[in-house]
Order: sequence, then C-alpha cells, then structure tokens
Amino acid sequence: MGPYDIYIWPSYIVTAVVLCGLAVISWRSKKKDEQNLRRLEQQMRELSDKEIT
Amino acid sequence: MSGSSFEIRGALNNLINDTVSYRPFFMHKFANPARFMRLSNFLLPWTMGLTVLLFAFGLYFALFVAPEDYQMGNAYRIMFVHVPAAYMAQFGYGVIAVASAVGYIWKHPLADQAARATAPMGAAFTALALVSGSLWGKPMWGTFWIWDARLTSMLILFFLYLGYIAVWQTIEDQVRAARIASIVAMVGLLNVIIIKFSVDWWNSLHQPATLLRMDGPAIGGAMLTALLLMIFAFNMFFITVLMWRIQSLILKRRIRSLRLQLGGGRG
Repeated sequence: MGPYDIYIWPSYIVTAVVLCGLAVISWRSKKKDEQNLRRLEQQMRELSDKEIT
Repeated sequence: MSGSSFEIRGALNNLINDTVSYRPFFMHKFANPARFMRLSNFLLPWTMGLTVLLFAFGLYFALFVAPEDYQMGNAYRIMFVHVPAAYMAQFGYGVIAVASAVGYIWKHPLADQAARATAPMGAAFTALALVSGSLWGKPMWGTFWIWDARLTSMLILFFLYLGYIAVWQTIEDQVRAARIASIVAMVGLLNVIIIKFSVDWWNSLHQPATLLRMDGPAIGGAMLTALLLMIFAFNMFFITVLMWRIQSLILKRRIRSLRLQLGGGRG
C-alpha cells in the first residue's frame, strides 16, 4: 500500500476489532440471558410442583 | 353549544382515536415478542452467512481488485470502511428515531426495545466513522481533526447516542425511560439532516457525497463494486447483531418478570 500503510491498516484493524467486539458481546449476552431464563423457568416449575404436592 | 358543533367535535375525536389506535398490518404481525423470537431464530443463520460472504467479497474487492486512485493513491482505500461506518451511524439513528416514534405513538411492545438495542451499535459505528475519518484526514488534509461542519455534526451524533444510552441506564422506570428516550431520539434526528447537508450548507474540507448524488455516483467500476459490497456487508452485520440484541432485551424482560413472580411467591 506504500507510504499510507500506517493509516490504512489501523483503520481496517480498528473496524475489525470494534465489529467483532460488538458481535461477541451481543451474542454472549443473549446466550447468558437464555441460560438465566432456563434456570428461572426450572425454579418456577419446581415451585409450582411443590405447591401442588 | 349547537348539535352540529357536537357532531364535529365527536368526528374529530373519532379521527384522533382512529389515528392513534391504527397500526399498519405488519405492526400487528411483529408486535408479538414470541413471534419475533421464532422469526429471528429462523433468519439468523441466513443473515450470519450473508454477512461473512459479503465481508469476504467486499474486502477482496476493496484491498485487491479496486485500482489505486490517481490523486489519493492507496489512502482512499480507507473509504471502504469509513463510508459504510458513517452511513450505518446515520442509518442507525434513523432506525432509533422511527422505532421511537412508533413506540411513542402506537405503544408497540417491540419498538422501544429495537430502538434501545440499536443505540450501542450506532455509537460504535459513529466512533468508527470518526476514527477512520481521522486516519484518512491526516494524509489528505494534514491533520487528524478539524472543527469542520461535517466532522463536528458527526461528533454531536456520537454524543447524542451516548445521551440516549444514558437515559435508558439512569432511569429505573422502563416506561418513563422509553418516553424520555423517544423524545431525545426524535429531537436528535435534526442532527442527521444537518450531517447530510453540512457539506452543501457550509464550506467544508470534507468531500461531498460520493454515492447519493443527483447526477449518479462519483466513482465507478471496481471501486463502486467494492464500496457497495462493504455497505451491504455492514448492513447485514447490523441486522444480525440487532436481532441478537433485541432477543437479549426480550429475554431480560421475561427474566425480570419471572424474578418478580418468584420473589412474590417466596414473600
């Protein structure tokens, strides 16, 4: 890329880091929420079973 | 008051009520969070695949196929990340403003969540546009930053995003937070119009629009192909991550309500 390397590559690297970070944070947050919801639904089921018995 | 004036007032009230209670058919279709979860789970593998493909082709065209510019040399290749980031920064704010208006007027259950989920992404795209623009500005203008109309209005957009996020973070009552955030979003839309026309209204170092021009795009051939591929890639990335983020917010609402039920049951 010649004399502009020090400007071109950082702009692509920063873009890649920010986009990957955004995707990973969003995906992990969703997965964590799914796990929490499953755990709470399990607790709810156990609670309602106890109430029935 | 005469009978006819009562009739006119009644008709006006009916008209206002009909307007507020009216929801276009697609709003009913997607107003249900469970339906959104099913639809987004079906769409996500496709949007993820398309994002990867578009980025692969876009980067190949941007770095290897597009020829060197006769004036800017290879420095112009920053355009292939700068323009899509700047476009998505403004598009993201447009999405927030429209979703906020829908949430404010029609109380659509997903609209506020969509607006809230978009804000961090919009802020990230704006930061990217500012950083890549600075890196492009240094070799072309001789400076990383100048208080130019386009650059300054983009910086204001970044602060508007931060303000919007702060409203959601600081106000505990979610209904009140949604109302205030909607107003912030709709008022801030004015800045997006200023960004678009800033290069026409004021003397600016920033070059005028490259793609959306009355006389057609200012670039052609492989440069245009690379730019369009990168814009589509950024768009598909936005759709994919937005679906994850909305899903996450829907799940968080369900978690909150279950915690309340469990807390109530124990108490």
